[in-house]
Amino acid sequence: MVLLVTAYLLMVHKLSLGYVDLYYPKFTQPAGSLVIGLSRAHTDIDPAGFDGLLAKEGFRGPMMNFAFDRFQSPFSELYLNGVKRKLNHAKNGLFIVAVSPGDFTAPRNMDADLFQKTEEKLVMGKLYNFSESPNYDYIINCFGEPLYSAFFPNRAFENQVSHSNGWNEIRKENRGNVISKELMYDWRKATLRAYERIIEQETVSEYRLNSFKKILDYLTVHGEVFLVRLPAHNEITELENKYWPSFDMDMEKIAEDFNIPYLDYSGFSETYTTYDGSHLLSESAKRITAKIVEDIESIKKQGL
Amino acid sequence: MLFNSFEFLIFFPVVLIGYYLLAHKYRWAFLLVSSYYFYMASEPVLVLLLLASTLVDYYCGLKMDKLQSKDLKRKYLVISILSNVGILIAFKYLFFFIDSLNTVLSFFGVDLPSAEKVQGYSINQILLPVGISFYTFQTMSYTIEVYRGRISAERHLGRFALYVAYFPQLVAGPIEKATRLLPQFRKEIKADLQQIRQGLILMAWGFFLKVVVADRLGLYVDLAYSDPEAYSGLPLILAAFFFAFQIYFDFSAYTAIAIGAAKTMGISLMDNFNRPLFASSIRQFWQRWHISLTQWIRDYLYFPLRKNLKATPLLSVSIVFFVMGLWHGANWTFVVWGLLNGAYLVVETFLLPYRKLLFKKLGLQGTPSKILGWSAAFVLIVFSLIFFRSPTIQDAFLYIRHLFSIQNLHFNILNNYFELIISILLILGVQIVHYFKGNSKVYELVISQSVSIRWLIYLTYILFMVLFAINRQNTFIYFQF
Repeated sequence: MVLLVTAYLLMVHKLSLGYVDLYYPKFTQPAGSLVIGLSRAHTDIDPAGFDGLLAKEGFRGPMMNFAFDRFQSPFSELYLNGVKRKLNHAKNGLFIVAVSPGDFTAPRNMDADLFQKTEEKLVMGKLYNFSESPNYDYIINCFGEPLYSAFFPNRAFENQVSHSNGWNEIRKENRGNVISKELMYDWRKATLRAYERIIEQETVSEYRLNSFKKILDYLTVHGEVFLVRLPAHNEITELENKYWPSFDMDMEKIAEDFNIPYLDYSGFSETYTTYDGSHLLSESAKRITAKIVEDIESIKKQGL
Repeated sequence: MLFNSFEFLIFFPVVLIGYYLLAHKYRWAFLLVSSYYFYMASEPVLVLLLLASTLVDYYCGLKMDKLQSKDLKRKYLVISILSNVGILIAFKYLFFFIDSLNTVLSFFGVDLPSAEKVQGYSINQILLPVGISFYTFQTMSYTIEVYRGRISAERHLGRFALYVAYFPQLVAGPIEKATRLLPQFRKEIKADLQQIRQGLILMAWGFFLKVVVADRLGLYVDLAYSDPEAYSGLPLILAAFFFAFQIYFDFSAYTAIAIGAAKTMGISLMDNFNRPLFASSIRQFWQRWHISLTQWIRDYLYFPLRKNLKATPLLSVSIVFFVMGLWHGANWTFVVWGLLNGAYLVVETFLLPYRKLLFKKLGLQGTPSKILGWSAAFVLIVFSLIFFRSPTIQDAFLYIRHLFSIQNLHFNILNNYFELIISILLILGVQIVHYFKGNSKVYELVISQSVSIRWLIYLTYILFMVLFAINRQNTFIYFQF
């Protein structure tokens, strides 16, 4: 038993020295400002793009991308707790909260208790240390691959670059691998199927909406919040709008209630390129980040 | 509490040491408290159901024991069965039945309130209590045996409660008959290092099967079943075969840990498997798969149907496999899986003489006929499990449709050949071990070796567990039943 535990801990340490997984960097340093949301925010927003704005407006840094995906960071009490732990009471932050219709769905008939029970098993529910390097807590409790991975530091998807600020960049060409048009088409169709399945099986959840509002409530006390709807391929955007036609109006209403701006980029499907219909390729992600920064600067200039 | 959790790594040694430190007369209490703690670690409130089931059956058992009249005894048997089946229906099948009824009625234009609105319940305010199908069946077997006069009622409430809640087999069996388990709790057990070692080796084997083998196969299976439309042919065929091994290794892992844990305490639990994936017929498969459940259903459902109710073999088999399917979950996928297996069995029985004749004419007797039988049975079992694994009937048909449309030869959907090769090697390795030693005698392979070889095995085990375990703390598949 002693041998087993010792060998295990040694392997955990060995893994922490290299690439762990795409979420690990999000838990290895403290943050003053955050990008919040689900998988689109995770791949589409590069916190480094906000460095100038942070310095200029005196927001507290560093900025981290603290978005995951619909399985790990749906809007919930646990995500709120995660945000609190990540910020550790820091004030005067800049918070970009990305939303899309799919972010608020959940299987039918779930109540708060069941949400809590189901989500306790996710990263936010299992983790105690949110800003520690190396984060053994993360590796022991949340790393879901075999530990021999420690011997393969380049095992991540070739086109993925996991940044220390939490951004998950997807490059069209990287390490000799090119994401072909055919593959992008296949992935887009798979995304569409997945979305159709979600529409079939899930519904807009009051719990998710309330948790989202609680997160906004918390963030507005700790800094300035900007609500953002990121662009996607027009097939996906059309599907989302069909599913929830009043989504933008509803978000505008929430933004109004919290006195925060709502920036809607969903109409810019043609301007930005996704690799799977939903998530932006690196170059587009950098451009949308720059656009958000530009719009925030303009809002700040107008004193809105 | 999960066996494959850090909590259990602390819980189990504490219980084992405490068990042997205590005098025999206190052990039942210690084990009972430990078992309730084990159960409550995952869902504290639902322990009340376990308690209710225990108290009702304890009371019914005592009452039946005192009565001479079969009719009066039957009254208490009915109370016991109704209360256990009632718990099962209320907590596992209610919404399934209501939804199914709604579907049928809506076909005729009648619109009833949907399941979740009935009596103001939210569907998920009723959580499925872990192991409910196991302990209700176990405790029902007790009252049926008392009713039949095969055993006397247990007068010691604590010991009876321990029989229902004994932690190694509480949440996923084996479903033990009182005639086997209760006497063992009464017997004074002395620490036997040899038995403790055997039990620990069995547990270690179970952990290996679960976290290294079954969970690894689950990675491929989950991917294929999550979006069958995205794949065609080979990956779906491979995932279907992998699932057969995954569910077997997962369940036999739980059983090995359960048997091993009990063995360390000097308690012998029955084995649930006898190399089922080597069965050369469907009949043989069902004699070797989840033995404690099939025996339960044979003794308490099939025989009464045939003997007392004079049901025809076809009707009896249909009912038995319907119940077998439904026992696994409140979903038509399980029912279809059960009925499909029932149909296999009926057809196999019908064709048996013709098969023998054909094999004789072709000169295929002995090993070749066994190999052919095994191949056919295995493929049929794998096919039926597509329904078992799919979330809905529609998904199962979608899966089958795509499975039969081979468009290319790409099967490495994990994009990781290394993992795929490891998975296949592990299946082969475990099947070889099971072929020679079965699931519950694996320790013989280790114990019979010299000290140096034994240590080599231990070190290899550690290396495998550390490097190759899938670190996800997945629940055992059979926990959901």
